[in-house]
Amino acid sequence: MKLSHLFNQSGTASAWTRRSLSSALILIIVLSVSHIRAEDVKVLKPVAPVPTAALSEVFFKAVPDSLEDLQQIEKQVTSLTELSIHCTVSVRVGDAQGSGVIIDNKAGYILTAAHVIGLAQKNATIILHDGRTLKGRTMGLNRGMDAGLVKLVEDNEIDISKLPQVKMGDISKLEPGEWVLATGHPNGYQAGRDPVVRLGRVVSRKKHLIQTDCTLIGGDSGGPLFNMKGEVIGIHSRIGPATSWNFHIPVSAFQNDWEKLVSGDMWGAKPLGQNAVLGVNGLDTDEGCKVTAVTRGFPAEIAGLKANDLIIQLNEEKISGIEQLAEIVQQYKPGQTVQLKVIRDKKTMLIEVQLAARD
Amino acid sequence: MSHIQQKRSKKSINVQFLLTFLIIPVFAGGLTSEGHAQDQLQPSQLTGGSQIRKAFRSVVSTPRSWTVRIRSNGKEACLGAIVGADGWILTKASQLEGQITCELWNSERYEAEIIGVDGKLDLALIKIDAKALPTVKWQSTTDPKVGQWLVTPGLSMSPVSVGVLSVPRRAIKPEPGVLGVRIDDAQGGALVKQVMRESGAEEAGLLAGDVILNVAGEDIENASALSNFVQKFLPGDRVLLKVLREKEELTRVVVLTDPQMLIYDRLREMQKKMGGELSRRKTGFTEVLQHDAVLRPEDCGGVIVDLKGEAIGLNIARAGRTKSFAIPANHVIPMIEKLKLKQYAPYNPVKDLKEHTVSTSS
Repeated sequence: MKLSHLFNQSGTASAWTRRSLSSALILIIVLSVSHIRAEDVKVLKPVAPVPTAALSEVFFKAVPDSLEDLQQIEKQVTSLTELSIHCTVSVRVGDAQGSGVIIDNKAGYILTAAHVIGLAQKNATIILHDGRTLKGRTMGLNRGMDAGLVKLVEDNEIDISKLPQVKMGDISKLEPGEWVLATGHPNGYQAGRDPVVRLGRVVSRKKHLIQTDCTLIGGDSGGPLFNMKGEVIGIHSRIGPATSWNFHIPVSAFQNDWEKLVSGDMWGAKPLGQNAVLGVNGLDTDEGCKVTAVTRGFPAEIAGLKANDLIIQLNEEKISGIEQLAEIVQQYKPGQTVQLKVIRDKKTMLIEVQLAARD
Repeated sequence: MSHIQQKRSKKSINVQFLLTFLIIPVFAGGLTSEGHAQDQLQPSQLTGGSQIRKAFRSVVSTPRSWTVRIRSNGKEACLGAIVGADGWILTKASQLEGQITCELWNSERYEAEIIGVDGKLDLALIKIDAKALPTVKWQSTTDPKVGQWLVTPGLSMSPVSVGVLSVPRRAIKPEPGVLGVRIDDAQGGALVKQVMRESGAEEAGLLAGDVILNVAGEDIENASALSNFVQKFLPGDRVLLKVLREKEELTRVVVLTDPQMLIYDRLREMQKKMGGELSRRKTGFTEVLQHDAVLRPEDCGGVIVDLKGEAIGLNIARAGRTKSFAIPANHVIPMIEKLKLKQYAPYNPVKDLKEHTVSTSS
């Protein structure tokens, strides 16, 4: 869904895209872990922060156009880097290694990517920016969105409540062009190297994905994307071939499902695997497949399909019913994006869906 | 059988473990093109885009006059920095080969002579026959802060790339280079069993069946001796080989390759797709400043400046999708005099290379 949208819209890049680029790369990390019972946890919904001092005018310009503008950006960015670095952690679960960000030092909550933690209620190793190590437990994860939560375990040596923390921001007004800062551990944690800072801009904003030109690579997954107020607005998730194709899940994925994440729920389809899945139930009708239900956290729901939608076409194939639809979906791979032609309230619409993996 | 990449391959596997990439084909045809034009930042408005780089014109108005475009055998090789008014230019050594020419900001072109090469920092001092050139103004007293703009001037009015300091100065350990051959013992040398694709050995025309007798002046007894000796060099280093082919002795210059680029064909392919080509020599630096400007390898070798237009270092490598390296000014400045005084041998692979290459233990 989102990825191919971006491919298609990248203007001059689009012809090249279609011709030579039929692959996007998705970071994923192999995990090996075992199940442990869920624990009781206190549910504390994070509150959107009070707006701080007004930002310089340059942050509302299409592009900076003077030395003064550049100085303003530099002044703001350098004022944010220390806290951004200090609250960025390395997250290890089994053999998987990614990044994360401390957003609550009372409860010890760390935001990361679902594909870094893999499963709920596993042991995690958290390395702070200065190399100190803490234990953590994985909490809930929304695999469809790639949102994962880790909770720090109390430690005899390190007072967790003294750790630096950052707030989650309000992203309802986030728009392309906004300046952003990314931190993380590219290529994995390296002793003696602080979390690595990158500056960029929001390239596009979709409901479930933010694209920026802050370059990311393996190991950055789960690390934070900050706005110019120093609030976390996204979590690094995946990348595409061009250096401006870096994708972050919006923090709304955490804010909207905070209770579920804290209580250790695990939902949604994995983005990668063997067999593709759409996540709909349906009936055969004369015109196509009538959707009776969409599965929570699966591609159809994420793309906005609803019960009673009538699916009449998938890419070039006419759809006649649920079983035939399932067969056609099987011709694709998880991660691929397909276009559904859907009739809703007598209107025909096109919906792009990025297929996920069946377990 | 012993082969030269043995040790390296183990190491690379460990690294891979931390970041398993999967390549997923994404359907990219027949999609909607509903009116989303406003939803997407224009390429020129990206951080490294032309509109933003334009804002830096006043920053590089002087630094671009210290910058030269260096070509090797007519092909863009790197940028360089004018460090002496009478034609002294500092650049990235491992990009140079063959006939060297320099183009100045005012479009004047000169042939250049390589005066000295420092293998440790991968710096070369070259000389053109010119007078009264503008020279670099260095800033070596304080390091830039993380998040501070770092600007790479080229010859044009706008810089070639912009970014910010990502990591304060730190050492980058050397990753030894390889010839790119699988080898076995042979009488008085090492037998080439296989030449790896896209390696320096392939480029130099080595063939399976060749027996390597001597590398950079060192006689090779057997396969493990070759393996041990070559490890003293870095990717991008050139070594002179004496090779026995069908009873005839040949000499070949091989540019050593980064072993990771050979072992993981997929990794290399991915790297090309995921952020462009990397520098051949990108490790083994005493200290670097890491910044996030997206640079072509051919745009390394020149200065990097702060918003005041003062040179805080010299770009030395495009090292990964997320990183470019610059040697801080305080390491660069003392090298200029050393190289002028020829305290390092002129770079000539046909002579003994041992004088100016780096040992991994040093």
